[in-house]
Amino acid sequence: MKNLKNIITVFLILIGGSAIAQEDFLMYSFDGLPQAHYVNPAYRISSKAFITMPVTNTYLGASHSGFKLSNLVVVRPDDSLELRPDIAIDKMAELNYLKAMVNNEIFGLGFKAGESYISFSVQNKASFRFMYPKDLFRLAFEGNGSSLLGERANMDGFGVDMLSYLEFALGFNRKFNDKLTLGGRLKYIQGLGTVYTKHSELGLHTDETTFDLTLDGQLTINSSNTAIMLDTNFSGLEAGDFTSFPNHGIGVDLGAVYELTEKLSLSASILDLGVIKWNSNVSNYSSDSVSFTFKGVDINEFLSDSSDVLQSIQDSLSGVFGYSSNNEAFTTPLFTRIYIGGSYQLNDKFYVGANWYSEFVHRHYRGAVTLSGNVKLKNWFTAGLNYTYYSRDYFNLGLGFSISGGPVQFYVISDNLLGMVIPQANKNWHARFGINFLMGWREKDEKASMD
Amino acid sequence: MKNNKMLKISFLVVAVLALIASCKKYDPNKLTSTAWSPNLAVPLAHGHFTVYDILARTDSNDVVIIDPSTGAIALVYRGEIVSYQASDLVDMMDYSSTTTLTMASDFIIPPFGPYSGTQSASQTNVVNPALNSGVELYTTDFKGGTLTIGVSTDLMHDVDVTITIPDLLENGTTPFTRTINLTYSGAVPQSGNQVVDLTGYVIDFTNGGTSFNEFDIQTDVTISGSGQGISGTESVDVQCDFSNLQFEKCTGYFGQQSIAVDNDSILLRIFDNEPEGYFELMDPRVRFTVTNEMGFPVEIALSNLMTIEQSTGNTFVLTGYPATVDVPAPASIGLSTTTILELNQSNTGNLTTVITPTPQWFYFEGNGISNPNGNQSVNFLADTSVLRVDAEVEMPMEGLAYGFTVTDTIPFSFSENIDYIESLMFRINVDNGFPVELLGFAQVLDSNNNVLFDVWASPENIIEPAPVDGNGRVTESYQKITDIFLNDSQIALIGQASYLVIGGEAQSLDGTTGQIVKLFEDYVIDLRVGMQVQGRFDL
Repeated sequence: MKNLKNIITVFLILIGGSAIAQEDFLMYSFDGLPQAHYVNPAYRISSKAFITMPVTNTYLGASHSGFKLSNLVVVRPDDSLELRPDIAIDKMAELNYLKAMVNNEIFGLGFKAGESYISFSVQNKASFRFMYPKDLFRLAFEGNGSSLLGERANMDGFGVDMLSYLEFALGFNRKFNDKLTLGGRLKYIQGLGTVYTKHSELGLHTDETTFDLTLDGQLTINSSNTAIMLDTNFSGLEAGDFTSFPNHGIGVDLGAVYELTEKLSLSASILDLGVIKWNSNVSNYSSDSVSFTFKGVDINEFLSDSSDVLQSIQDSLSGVFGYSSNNEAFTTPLFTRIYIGGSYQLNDKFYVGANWYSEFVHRHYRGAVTLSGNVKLKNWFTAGLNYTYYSRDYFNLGLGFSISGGPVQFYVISDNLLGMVIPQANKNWHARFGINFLMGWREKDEKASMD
Repeated sequence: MKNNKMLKISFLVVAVLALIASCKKYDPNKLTSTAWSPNLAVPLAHGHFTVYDILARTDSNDVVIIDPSTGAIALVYRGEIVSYQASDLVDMMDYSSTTTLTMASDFIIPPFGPYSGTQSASQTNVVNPALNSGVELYTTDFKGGTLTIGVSTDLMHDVDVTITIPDLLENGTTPFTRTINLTYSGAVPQSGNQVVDLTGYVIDFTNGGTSFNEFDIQTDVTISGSGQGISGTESVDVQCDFSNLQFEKCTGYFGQQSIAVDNDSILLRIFDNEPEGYFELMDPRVRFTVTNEMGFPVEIALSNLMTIEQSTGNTFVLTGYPATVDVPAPASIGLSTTTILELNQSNTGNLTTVITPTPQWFYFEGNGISNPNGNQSVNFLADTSVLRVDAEVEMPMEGLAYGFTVTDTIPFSFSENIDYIESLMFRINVDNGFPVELLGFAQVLDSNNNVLFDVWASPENIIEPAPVDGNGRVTESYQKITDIFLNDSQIALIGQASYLVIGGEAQSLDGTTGQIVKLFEDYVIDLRVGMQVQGRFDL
C-alpha cells in the first residue's frame, strides 16, 4: 500500500501537480514585448532596440490533454481520496498528450533600422512529449473483457518524443506600408539530442466469441545522443561541444500583421518550420510488422506431443516479435505551430483580441482558441488577461503583465493562472518571464506623457 | 499618487501569490482503499479436427479411404493371415553318393606280382536327392551349394579318377566332369579330393524325361602300375557329397501339400476404448486378398470368422460366408495372380450384426492346399516366391450410433491466486461439421481423486449435431457456445484441482430414431476454449 501511494504520488506530480499549460497564447497579444517577436516575426517593439538579460528569459510549459487530477482522484465527503480511473478514462481522448517544454533565451537583441526591424537570439530549447492512447488505460484498468471485448484496443500513436537543441535565429521584419508588416526569422539549429517515435501502430483485438487475441503493430524509434537526456551520469557538455555538434538543422518562422482599419488588425504566423538532421550517436530501432493471433494451445499439437506445445508457442512468438536496428542518420521535424489572430483597439488603453492556435503532432491536429484583453494603464505597466480552450479543457484563464522601470523591463505571463491555484482541476500550466533592456524608451515615454 | 498605484499593484501580486500558496493539495496519505477490477478474456485452447484426426490419429496403420466420386469415407483395418515362403515347400537337404571299384570285380590284374601296366574301369550310379515328402523335382537352377568329391585307395600305384554327371550342366551348357590324380609316393592309403561350388549349375532330375528326382554319376578309374605288387584286395573309393543346396528356381510337381494353418486378428481401433452403446453400420465388408507367386494353384479355406469383445471375451460368429477361395497359378515364373474374396451383407449371413456390438477384434483362420486337383501341369517355383493372404475390414462410415459414453481424465491445475478472482467463466465454442452430438459432463478432482465439484449440475449438450440432407450428408455446420460459470464455492475449490474428468454421451443425429448419417472427407469440427476472469484487487 505504501509503495502504491509512492507511485501514485509521483504520478500525481507528473500529471496533476504540474497540471501546467503551455503555448504562448497570451504572449501573442503582448505585441509590445520583444519576445512577442518570437511568436510572430512581424511583431516589433516600440522602442528603438532591446537586449535581453542573458539567461533570465525563460519559458516553462506543460500540458496534459488526457484528464485532470480531479478526474482521477475524487474527494469523498469525509475528505478521503478515492482513485477513479474509470472517470479519468472517460475523460480521455483517443490519443492523449503529456507535454513539457523549457526554453531559455541565452541571448537576444533587436533594433529598428528605418522601416525594418532586425533581431538576433540564441535559445536553448527542450521539449518532451509522451503520447498515450486511451485504450492503453482501458486495457490496463478494465482489461480486455469489458468494453474492449470484440474491439481493437487502439494504441496507435503510443510513443515518446524528446528534443533538445540550440537555436540561433536571425529575425527581420519590415513595414511595407501603413497596413502590412511582414517578418521572418531564419534559424540555424544545433541538435543536442532526440528520441523520436517515427512510427507507432499497436493494437490488440479480442474476439468477442472466441477471445482470440490478435496483436498488430509496428514501431520505429529514432534516437541520437540520448545520453544527454537520459543518462543521469552524463557529465554535461563542454564548450567545444557546441561547435563540434554534427546535428545540423534549419528552421524558419514567418509572420504577418495587417492593419485592416485603424482599430482592427489581423495577424498570422507559422513557427518552427524546419528539420534537424541527426548524425551523431544515432540508434534506430524498428520492430517487424506484427499481425499475430493467439488462439490458445493448439490441441492438435498437444495431442501429438504435449511436451513441445510451450516451446512451439515460444517459437511462434520469437518469430513474430523481431526487430532490427541501425545507425543511419535521420531527420526529425521541428514542432511546427501556427497562429492566426486579430485584435481590436477599443480605446487608447484597452484592446481585445482572439487567436487560433494549431499544431500537428504526428499528423494529429491539436488546436486552441484564445480570447484576450490587454490594457496599457501606463507606459510602464501593461497587463493582459486571456481565456483559452486548449487540451479539450475550458478552464484556462491566463494573466500577464510587464513592468518597465527605466530601461529595464520585467514581465511575467501565464496562460493558465488557475493551474497554479487549483492544479487538480487543470490540464495546463505555463509561465514565461524575463528581463529585457530597452533602448529608445525614454523618448517614447516622454512623448506619451505629453500626450 | 504614483506610489498609491504601485501599492495597489503590489497588493494584487501578493494576493495572487497568497492564493497560490493557499491552494489545496492532494495528500496521497488520504487515499483510501479502492478496488481494481480488470476483466480479462483469454483463449486457452483451439483445435481443428478433420475426419483423419478423429478416426485415424491413434495409429498409422489406421487407414481412411475416400470414395473419389462422393468423398464418402471408410475405415480400413488390416492384417495378414499367412505368408508362405518357397523354402517352406521345397527343402533340398544334404545327401551323398558312394562308389567303390575293387580289384576283385572291376579290374583284370593278377595279384601278387609286380605291376607296371595300365588298366581302366568304370561305374555309373543313379542318385536320388533328398527332398521333403511329395515333391517331384524336374529341374533345378542352383544359386548355391557345394559338391565335395573324395577319392581314397590302398593301391601302391598311380590312380586317376574322373567323375562325370551328364545332367549337371555347368553354366547351363557343359556337363559336369572332374578328374582327381593320385601319384604313388611310397605310402598308402592314397587320397585326394576336390570341392566344387554349384552356384550357377543347372540339373535335370528326369533322366532324359522319363523320371523325376534322379540323376546319374559316372565314375572312371585308371590305374598306372608303379612296379609294386598287388595283393588283390585293394579298392578305389569315390564319394560325392552334395551340401548346402539352394535353388534359384525349380520345376516339378510339388504335390498336394498343406499350406500351414494359421490365424490372425485385426484390431478395430475405432472401438479400442470399448465404448458402450449401439452402433450400426450399413455396409461393412471383410476382404481377403490372396497373392500367389508360386507356380501351382492353391485352394484357401476360411474358418472361424468372428468378432470378439475384448473385455468380456464374447464372440460373435460370422455365418454364411463362402468356404473356399480358389487361387490360380501364375502363367510363368516371376509373375503372380491376385484373387480377392470380399465378404459383405450379400454373401454372409450376419456381417452387420457382428460389427454392431462394437467388438475390438475381428478373428479368422485359414488353411490351404496346393494342387487341389492333382498333377495337371508342371509346377514351378522361384526362391523368392510367396503365397500371401491379406485381410482387411472395411467400415464405410454410414450408419447410426447412440448411447456411446466416453470418459477421460486429464491433469488439470489452476495456478492463479483465487483470492483475486471475483468471477470465472469458461467458454466452450464448438463449430461442428459432423452429424454427431455430445452430451458432456465434467468433474474437477483433487490430487486424491476426490470430486471437488461437478461442472454442470446435469449433462450439458456441448456439441450439437450438424443437420443432414436426405442422403445423410451434412448441409451446414452447427455452432454451439457453452459458457460455464463457476460460482464462489467452485472458485474457492478450483485451486485444489489436480485432474479434470471429462466425458459425454455421444450419438449420431437422431440416432435413436434410426436416422442414417454418413461421414465425408470434408467434415471438420472446430473447438475453441476460452476463459474470462473478473479480477478484484484491493489497492
